[in-house]
Amino acid sequence: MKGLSVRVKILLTLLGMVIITATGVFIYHAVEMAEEIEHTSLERYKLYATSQASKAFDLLITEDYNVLKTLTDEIRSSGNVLYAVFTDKDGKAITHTFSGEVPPELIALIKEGKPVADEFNLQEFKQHYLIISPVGDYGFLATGFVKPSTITLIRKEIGDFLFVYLISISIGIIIAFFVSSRILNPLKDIMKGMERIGKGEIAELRVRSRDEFGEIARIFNETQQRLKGLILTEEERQKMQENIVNFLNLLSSAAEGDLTQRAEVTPDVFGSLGDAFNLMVEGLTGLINDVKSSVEGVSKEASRILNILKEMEKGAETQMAEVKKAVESTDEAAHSAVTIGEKTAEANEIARTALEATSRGSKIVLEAIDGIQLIRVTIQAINKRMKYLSERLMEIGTISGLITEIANRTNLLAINASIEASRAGEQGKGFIVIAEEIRGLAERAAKSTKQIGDIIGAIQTESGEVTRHLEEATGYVEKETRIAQDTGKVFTEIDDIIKRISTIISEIHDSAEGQKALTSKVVLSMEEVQRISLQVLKLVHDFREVARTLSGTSQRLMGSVEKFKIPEA
Amino acid sequence: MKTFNLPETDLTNHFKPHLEEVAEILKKSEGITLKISSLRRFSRNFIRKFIQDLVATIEIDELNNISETEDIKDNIFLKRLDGRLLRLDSPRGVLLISTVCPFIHFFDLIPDNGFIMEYEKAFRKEGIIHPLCIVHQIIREELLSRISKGPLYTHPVLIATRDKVKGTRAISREGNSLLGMKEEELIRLLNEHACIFLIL
Repeated sequence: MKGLSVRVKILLTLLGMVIITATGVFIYHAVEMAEEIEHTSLERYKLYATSQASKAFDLLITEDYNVLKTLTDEIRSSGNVLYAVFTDKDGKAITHTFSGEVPPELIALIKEGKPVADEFNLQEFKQHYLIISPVGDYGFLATGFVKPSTITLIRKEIGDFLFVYLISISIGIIIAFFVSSRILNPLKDIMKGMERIGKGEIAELRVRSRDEFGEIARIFNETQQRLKGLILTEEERQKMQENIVNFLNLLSSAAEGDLTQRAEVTPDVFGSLGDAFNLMVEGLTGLINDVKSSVEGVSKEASRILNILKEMEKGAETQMAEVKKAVESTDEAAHSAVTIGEKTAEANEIARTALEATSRGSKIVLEAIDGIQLIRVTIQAINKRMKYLSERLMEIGTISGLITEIANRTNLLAINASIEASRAGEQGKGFIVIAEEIRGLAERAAKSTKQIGDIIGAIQTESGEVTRHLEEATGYVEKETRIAQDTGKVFTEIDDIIKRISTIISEIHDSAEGQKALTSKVVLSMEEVQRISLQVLKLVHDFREVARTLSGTSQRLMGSVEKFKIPEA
Repeated sequence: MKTFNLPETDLTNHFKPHLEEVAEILKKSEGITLKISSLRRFSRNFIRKFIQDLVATIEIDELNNISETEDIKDNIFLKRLDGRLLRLDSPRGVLLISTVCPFIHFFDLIPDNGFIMEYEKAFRKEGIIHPLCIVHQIIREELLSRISKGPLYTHPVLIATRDKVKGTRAISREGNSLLGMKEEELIRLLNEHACIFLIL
């Protein structure tokens, strides 16, 4: 294809397109026609079979089977019929053509005596159609028709279509030739012009068309006019070559990082280029200087940040350790508060018990005082009774003395009476006995009185003794009463003191409870502080990593910048 | 119920006699804050005494072998306390994973009685499944502050815990915010082990 001219290529392209289109149209048309013919043939077959069935109607009624056989042979002899079978209404074959084309399914039906179909039916086999047409209600006609071949049909169509096909291709070729000429003529003009320019001539292209080729020619002519002023001499070309080499060397040095070289500023176009290059290198040098100083600054600052962060990290770690200690101290304080609370509660309980004890003691002392007072009163009453008894004893002693005196005088009188009775002699003898009796009684009375006196004396002695003891006991009672009263006072004082102690303990207990509540808050606060300290520590760790990365990056950047060689400032 | 043959560490055996003390602290009518405070105080005192005892049981040669560059998971004290420890190096620090909880034998002996809920509410902390986790955390804090090498302070941050017997687990969102691990990844780790903490 490469060696072919554009014209041939265009022609071949257009021809190919026409052929493809025409072939496509042809195939489509042929297939459509074949389908149409196939359909038409089938309709024709059906019509034929129906008409033959109609013919056989009377023959079946009259059972004129000889004529029916003739009709069967006629059917068979007509074109496109492969076989024909007449059956009665039960499917039993009456006449047939005995052709080998009869399909086995139909033969089987006939042999079994089954109806071939109960209505008009069509079956398609590979090579033929079987059309079963009813003959009234008396039987059926089964006819086998040759199936028309698609290729045969298409072949038939080609004959009709070939003429149109060839005319289409011919018209296509003519159009292609015309179109290619319209395209190629302006191209030829352009080629001719280009050939002349290639030879070094300044030639204007003459293209008459107003299409894209005309536009190309116009732009080409304008460009040619502009290039006229730019065409160089050989000397100028050499100079330019030299400038290009120099400039490339400069670029190469700059690319390697040497920014100390400057381009020569000449009056030609390279002068402007060199000037621009110099300007660019100056800018780049300034930029690198700026980057260098910035990177140095960043590096220094990163180092400073790193140092600060190290300090911060130490600080955060110290803080964390201190917080841990503080948490520990808080826990200890909480424990103390709890212990104080427990102990004060215990002390409160003890004070309460003591208060109860003193209260009981006071009560007992008061009861004792009452008892002692009662004893005192009783002793006083006994003492009084004893005095009374003593007085009565004294009275008895007096009476006893009188009785003794009376007994003595009675004794004396009895003696005197006895003496007088003795003087009286016999008459006085009885009286002597009486006087003796009286004297005996007087002696006994005196003796008894003396005994009474002794007893009274003893009683008086005892009574005196009792009285003395009672007086002593009274003294004791009074003393004990005073002691008991003093004890009562002491108990009251103890009671007051314990009450005060209890109040103080209660206050301490309340304080301890307050301390506990406060400590609880402190524990929670310390937990929060610990949590924050941990987060701070973590942040400082992370931040130190960031600073370390920053420092590394600035170091690498510095390394990259230092590759550039720049003029000394 | 599933039964487990869980190994006991030195810590398990030393802790046994103190169970009643812990139960007593938890039984007290004090509020949750003071209970926690008491629990921490108890834990500190316990571990200080335990370390003394532990040092006495460790051969002097073994103590001398603790090098400055020792892997923290191989630290003899931590090993005695936690049994087997696994180490994962994460970008946020060293992650230590305890395979067996030394206190798991005591979980049923010290009932929770709503302790965890109260604790989480008051202290705004998560990640514990039993009061003894607090004891364990303080023990680790105390131990790490003693075995810290050089100027760096080391602090254990509790990330997640799991009861191997009951299958319950807890994750500390606050702790994990410092670690920055995906929750699914944590659960996967936790399913095989007992406790995860970050060494900061």
